[in-house]
Amino acid sequence: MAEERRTLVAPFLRKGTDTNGMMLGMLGCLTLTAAHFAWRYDTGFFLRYLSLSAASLLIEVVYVILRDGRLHWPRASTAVTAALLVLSVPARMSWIQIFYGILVAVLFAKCMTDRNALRLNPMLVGRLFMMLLFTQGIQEWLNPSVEIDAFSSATPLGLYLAEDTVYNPLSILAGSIRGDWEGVYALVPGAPGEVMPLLALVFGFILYFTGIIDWRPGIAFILGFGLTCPILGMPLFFHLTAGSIMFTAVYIVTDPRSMPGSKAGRLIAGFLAGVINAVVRNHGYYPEGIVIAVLAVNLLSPTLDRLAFYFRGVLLQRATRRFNQ
Amino acid sequence: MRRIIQSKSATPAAPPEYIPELPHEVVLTLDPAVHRCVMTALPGPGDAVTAGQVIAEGKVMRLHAPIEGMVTDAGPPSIRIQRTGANECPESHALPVPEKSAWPDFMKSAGLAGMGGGMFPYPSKMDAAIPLNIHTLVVNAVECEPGIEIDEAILMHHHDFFIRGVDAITQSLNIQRKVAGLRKSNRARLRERLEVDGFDIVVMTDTYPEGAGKLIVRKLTGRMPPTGVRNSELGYLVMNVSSLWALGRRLALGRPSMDRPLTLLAPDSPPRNIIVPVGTPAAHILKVYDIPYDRNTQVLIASGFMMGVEVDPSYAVLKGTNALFVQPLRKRLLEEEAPCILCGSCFDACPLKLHPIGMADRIKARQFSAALEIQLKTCFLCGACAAVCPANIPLAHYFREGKQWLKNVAR
Repeated sequence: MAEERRTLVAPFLRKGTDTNGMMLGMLGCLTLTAAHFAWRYDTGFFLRYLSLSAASLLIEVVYVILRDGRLHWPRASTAVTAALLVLSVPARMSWIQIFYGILVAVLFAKCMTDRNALRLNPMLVGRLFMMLLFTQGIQEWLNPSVEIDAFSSATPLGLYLAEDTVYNPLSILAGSIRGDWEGVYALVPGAPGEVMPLLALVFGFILYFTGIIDWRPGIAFILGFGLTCPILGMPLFFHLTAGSIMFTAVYIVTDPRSMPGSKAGRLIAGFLAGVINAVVRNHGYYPEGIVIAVLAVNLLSPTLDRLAFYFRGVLLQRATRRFNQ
Repeated sequence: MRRIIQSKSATPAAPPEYIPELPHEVVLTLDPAVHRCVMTALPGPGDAVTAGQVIAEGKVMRLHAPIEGMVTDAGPPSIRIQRTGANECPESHALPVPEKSAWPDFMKSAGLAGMGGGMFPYPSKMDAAIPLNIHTLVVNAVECEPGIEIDEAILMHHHDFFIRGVDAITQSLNIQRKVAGLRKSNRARLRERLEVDGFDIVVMTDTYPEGAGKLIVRKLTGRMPPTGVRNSELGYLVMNVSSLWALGRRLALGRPSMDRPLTLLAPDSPPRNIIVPVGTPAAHILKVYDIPYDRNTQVLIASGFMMGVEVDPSYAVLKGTNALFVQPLRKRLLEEEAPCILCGSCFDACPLKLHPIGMADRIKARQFSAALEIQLKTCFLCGACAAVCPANIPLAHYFREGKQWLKNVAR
């Protein structure tokens, strides 16, 4: 006999995907990013991407078997953590070194940590571990496959005029543009996820309009970074199009669990991450500003949420008090 | 899709029709939580009642027999009337517009409760509003709950009763300004008609919960009414279309609040707007309109997707029941609550800029604070946060629980 179902409570509508669907959407964008890199520069990379993502799921399954003694369907968010890690380190880095990074990220930062108490981005924890242990491997970037001449111009149109080429938007999408814009259009391979900031930007829009990511942390991050760069005398456009900024704005600072949940908290955390990133890039010993910046604001997330909750209450009380006076 | 709850309606509402077959039995609850006061049944079992006769009395509410019949159970918890005749009120006649001070008694004699869904007793509402300087009557025709279109149907097809109610209120209370809140998608259909009647139009977006009285007043004043402050304290009397319709019928026909217009929505059939006697069982409505219902594959909802309740076919229509939906039972509705990933969707959905997950966490942990108290008091349980939650956390349910907990703390 079928079990009697419980009585449901309002609301009886659901908008948007569930948690797993959100992570699958994110994973889809990351997989397309990996496929794009494999198509342009290194076909074998895609296999590495898939195998490492699968390995991350296996880590979670084994962990749950050891902990609970039962088989458990792994979460898509685990694969997202692995995918982000694979896409942010050199494409030819040793498979086993990346695996160690994923192991730390999934096992220690995701499965074994009480993520209510310590809200660190697991992928960045894994990457930090790799930076400390595999200092050499994590800096061996793939060389550009296209020879590029330096060029500067007032506007992109001026660039085309000087080059005597006809402006063709399709050719831009295909990557045939030079000068300062080269970073935007996939002429310089770096970390596989960061070779084409435009792609990250497009996926960012898709993820936002499908209700998977929030705009606040990403925009605040770019704003914080963009405002700090000129103050520190850093070339803003170069840094914005260098790849990692867009990738971080779309995929890293939008990680929900490690960033504050409140709107104000997200804006503050994103902005702070941008500022710290610029400062670390300019003054720090490590070139890896993102890891330091985002992990630093992750530590502030619970506090920012608590403050936002408290101040919302204060504002509401003040409005009532003012009316009653 | 971004997590926005749309309430767009492209087609005009169907005209309301009186249910072709009266129920054999009506059931009127005496639950004090529903009526906001203790109700006492007046007739006893076996007594004959005529349609429109007062059958229960409370401090701020009165119940009338919706049909002629015999009382089989005088409650509590409810009064049951077996039908023996029709639903025509004998000796009913048009009534004069009451004096300003007589409105609470008049509303009580009509047995009028808020018909937008809240069922707040109108005698109490008028009692609070009369000493205040009410300068604007706001007719709430936004109807932002997806699928409900009964107010639009009344405005288009039962306009006379509605306008009679509006005129009585504005003349008697000396209200200078009339404002009608519409939403973008029904603006074109209703604007002209309402402007002819002297209404200023305020247009809200096609999203839920834009029809909340507080949000309409925010649009009019440019400021959100502070927590604990009624709209009437700001000079705005917000009334629902169905309530004004019922008031108009009381004035024009002498008929108390004993009929309920509602939207009936079922799979494979167009939306219907029907008028049924209060207390009609849902099973009877489904039978009359030949709507099959299977609890294993469907869900029967009273009063809308967002703020309604799941009911069974024995559910009897209340004065606040503005819709009856039979909908497929979707898998997402049955999913258990998952851990929150702090995606922030609930923060975006909250029209009052509250911190839904922060409130729910504190309610679960029973962490009382002034910030939690004021946020819980501000929340009007629209449920938008819960509808967009990817982790299926029943946030509105927690808030309901939290409000109850707050009351106990206060005691």
